[in-house]
Amino acid sequence: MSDPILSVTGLRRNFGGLRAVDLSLEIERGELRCLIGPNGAGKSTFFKILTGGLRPDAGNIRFQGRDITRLDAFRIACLGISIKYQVPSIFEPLSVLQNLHLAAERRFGFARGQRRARRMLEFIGFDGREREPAAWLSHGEKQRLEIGMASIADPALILLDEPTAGMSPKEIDRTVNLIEKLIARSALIVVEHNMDFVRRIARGVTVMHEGKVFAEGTMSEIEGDVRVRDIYLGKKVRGDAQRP
Amino acid sequence: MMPLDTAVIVLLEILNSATILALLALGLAVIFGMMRIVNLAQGEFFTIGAFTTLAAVRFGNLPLWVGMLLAPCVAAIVGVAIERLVIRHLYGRPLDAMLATWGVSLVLIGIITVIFGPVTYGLPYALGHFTIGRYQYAEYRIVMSLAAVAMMAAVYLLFRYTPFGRRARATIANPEMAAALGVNTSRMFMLTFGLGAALAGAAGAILAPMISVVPTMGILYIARAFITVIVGGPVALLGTASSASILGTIEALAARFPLLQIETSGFCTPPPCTITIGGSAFYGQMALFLFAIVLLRLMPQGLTGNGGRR
Amino acid sequence: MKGAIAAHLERRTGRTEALDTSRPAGLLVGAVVLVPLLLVPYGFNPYAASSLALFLIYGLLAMSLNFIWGYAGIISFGQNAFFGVGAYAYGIIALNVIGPSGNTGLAVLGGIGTPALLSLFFAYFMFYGRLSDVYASIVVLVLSLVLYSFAVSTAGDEWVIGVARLGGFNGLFGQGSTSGNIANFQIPPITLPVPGMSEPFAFRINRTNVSGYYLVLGTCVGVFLFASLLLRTRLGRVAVAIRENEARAVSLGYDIRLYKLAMFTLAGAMAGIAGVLFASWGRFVNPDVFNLTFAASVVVAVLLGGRLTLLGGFVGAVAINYLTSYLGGLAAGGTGTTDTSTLPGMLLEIAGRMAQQAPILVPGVVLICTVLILKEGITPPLLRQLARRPLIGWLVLFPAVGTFFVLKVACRQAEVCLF
Repeated sequence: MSDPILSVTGLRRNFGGLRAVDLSLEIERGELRCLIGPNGAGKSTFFKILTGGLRPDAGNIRFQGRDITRLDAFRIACLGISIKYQVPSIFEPLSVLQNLHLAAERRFGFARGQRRARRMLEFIGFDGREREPAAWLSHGEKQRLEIGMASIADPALILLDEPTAGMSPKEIDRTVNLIEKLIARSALIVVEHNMDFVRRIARGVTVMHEGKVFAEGTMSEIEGDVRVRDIYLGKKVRGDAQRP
Repeated sequence: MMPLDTAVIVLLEILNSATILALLALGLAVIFGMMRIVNLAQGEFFTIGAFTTLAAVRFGNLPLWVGMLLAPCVAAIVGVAIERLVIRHLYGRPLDAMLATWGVSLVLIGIITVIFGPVTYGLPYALGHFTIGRYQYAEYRIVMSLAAVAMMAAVYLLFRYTPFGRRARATIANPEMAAALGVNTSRMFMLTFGLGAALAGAAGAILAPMISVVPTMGILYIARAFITVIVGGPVALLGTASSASILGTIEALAARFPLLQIETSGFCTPPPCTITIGGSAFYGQMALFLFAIVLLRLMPQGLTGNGGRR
Repeated sequence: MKGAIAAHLERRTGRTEALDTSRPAGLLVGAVVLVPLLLVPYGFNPYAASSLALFLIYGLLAMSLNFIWGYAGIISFGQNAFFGVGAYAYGIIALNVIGPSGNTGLAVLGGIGTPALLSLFFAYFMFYGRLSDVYASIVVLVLSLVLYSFAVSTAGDEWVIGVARLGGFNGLFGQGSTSGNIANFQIPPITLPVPGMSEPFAFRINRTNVSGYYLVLGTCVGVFLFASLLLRTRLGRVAVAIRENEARAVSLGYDIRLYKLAMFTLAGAMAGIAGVLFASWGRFVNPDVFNLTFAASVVVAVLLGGRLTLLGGFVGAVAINYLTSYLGGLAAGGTGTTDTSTLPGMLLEIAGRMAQQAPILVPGVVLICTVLILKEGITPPLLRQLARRPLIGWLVLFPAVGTFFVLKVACRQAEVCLF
């Protein structure tokens, strides 16, 4: 049972002289891990390496017992790691349904993919709007659609990079519900700056700073940690935690 | 073992090939490296340079060197005009800019043909020959190499040490910031494009005495210029210099040495008919092209890129 | 940026698939275009049918570029290279493998297969080497230019494959020896046995037989339908996904290199089909199929017609060739005969020379203007109007096409054609 779904050991990537990422990390099956840290802490770079968009300089990534460190990005996606990017990344001129169908079709084929896409449509709250071009959606809706696309093929691990950026409080409620449902089927790593949101969903929290794992623990432990306050929470918790 | 005189000639031919490639690619590399614009009309600036020299010598009865000095000026004027009329509207749209320059290229070929007619011209050979063992070699080719080195050095010094160079590099690195600091970025782009055109014009003038001058001559050279720039990669001057030397070596060797002979069923006099693969200028270009494709498979970013690392 | 244009399009139309040509509006447009095309050989002389067949062949070539550019966002500026290789391959095989009256099936296959293999080879290096888009488009253009220098350099007597003489600038001919002299013969036209018929089908466009015209038209329609169907499969959907957002397509688990490879190879085969028809149409092919002007004309056709619909390139190719040949016809009035010492004479001489350069000036000017002004080309706005106001569309388009057709026939009969 203690076999982790994702284990990252000694992962390193430099940009010029800057050590952007230098960490080890383990994620259990069915875990929801929040990844927080100030801007430039290496969170997005870490996601890029996980999904095969960047090659690490050193280190090793094992996913479900398999070494995926140097695999092509699409193979990693096929093995079951999916991502919602920080900036909404969807197929704008295609309809909402076509977006979801493209995400489902690779794994399930045309007809089953279609059924899956319709079910997901309901699940993420787009019923009746399937023919709308994705370009028409608001920023928050695009984010939700992308979460739907990332989770439709039943991936074992979903990476969400700032899922609530640009969302209204009502939309955030919705996203919290969505994540609660997703956790039944997949492990999740969520990068977020919105501390209210993190407080609502978090089980375990990892703080990154200058590419390294700075602290790990429950949300209350992290919030109690003075060092973390110094580098990050200090200014964020008191002010509005949202990024512009 | 190769006789000494052959070895010297082969070395000179490698130098010559590398020179021609560098001359062709320099202007293109400045425009692409500095402005990120793939200028398909570059071959026509080259043609304009050659025709300016030709017109000055043939119709203006001016000395050759005057024509050669006029060439980059005319090419720069045409280049600046094109930048103002067309390219200016297309910054930030690299694909459209490339298509538009292709249109410009065709229109320029058309206009040059309307003026000079679809005729092949030649310029008289400048300078004489010297002898190495059993071979003769044109002195002018050595002058060409010196001119190429001088041009590259001038471009380097221009961008490194002059106020224009500093402003141009600032504009390339970050247009908004440069504009905020008071650099007239629009003018910088215009001048850079004009400089690229002038370099191509100068190349056309320098090469004109060695080649036949036709309105469509740019097409023959543009392919090699592009290969040189693509293989060179993102660092404009260093990339051009290194890829011109490597590709020049490949080209000169393939153009010099026959590789194999194939007998065919044609009716030749005298029989038999054989095709010789290698050993002519065409196979030099072919080898260059194939080598470049394989090299780009291994190093998609070119010689000065980071080796395709993600 | 491409995504933005398409999104803008969608916003304006309010439909997700407004440009889909297989919808009723698209089918009706197809019918409006097709019916007159079917009737052309009866309304006009064989010469008109013959030149229209050539335009259709160019249209097919443009469609092959449309297929990869419009749908997968892959730009190939040297699509004519595959066209030319197809034409040469067909010619060389047809000259060698059969006698004058036999079956050219093998040559047709070779003429499609060779460019398909060549495009597969290049696609591998381009897409698996992760060459950037801009570089990839130039690499194919450079291929075309290299093939041009190669084809030009084959003028000598030794450049013979079997009985096929490559012939450099003079073009591809067969050679046979009759009583010690060399006799040249042309590339045989497409000849295919038809089941149930005693005579094989033969490609002809002359006073008594226009089978070649219908073969060209039929092939165009067939390739169009096949490509449309293909684009409705996963291949087409993923291609669009790659065009719109490559990173997202990858992170959904699609091997985009493979999809690009497939699209590019199919486009190469389509260009090859056009090349085969071209070689059969003129019974002749020379290095001009590889030159830069021809390469540009294909890109211009797709840009002018509009790359977001499969028919755009087709419309553009026919339009641009019509314009070029019309201006070329004006130039046939002759230059060099006018008195250039007076200003009007000088201007006339310049105009005449410019008209002579129409094949190069027209694509050039159209390229610049399309990029600067008419960004979508002509077909998408047209189709959009039809989708939005079908009735007005039909009331204008049907009569316009009909009137043009009737006038054209009438003026041919009266021999006072102004257009």
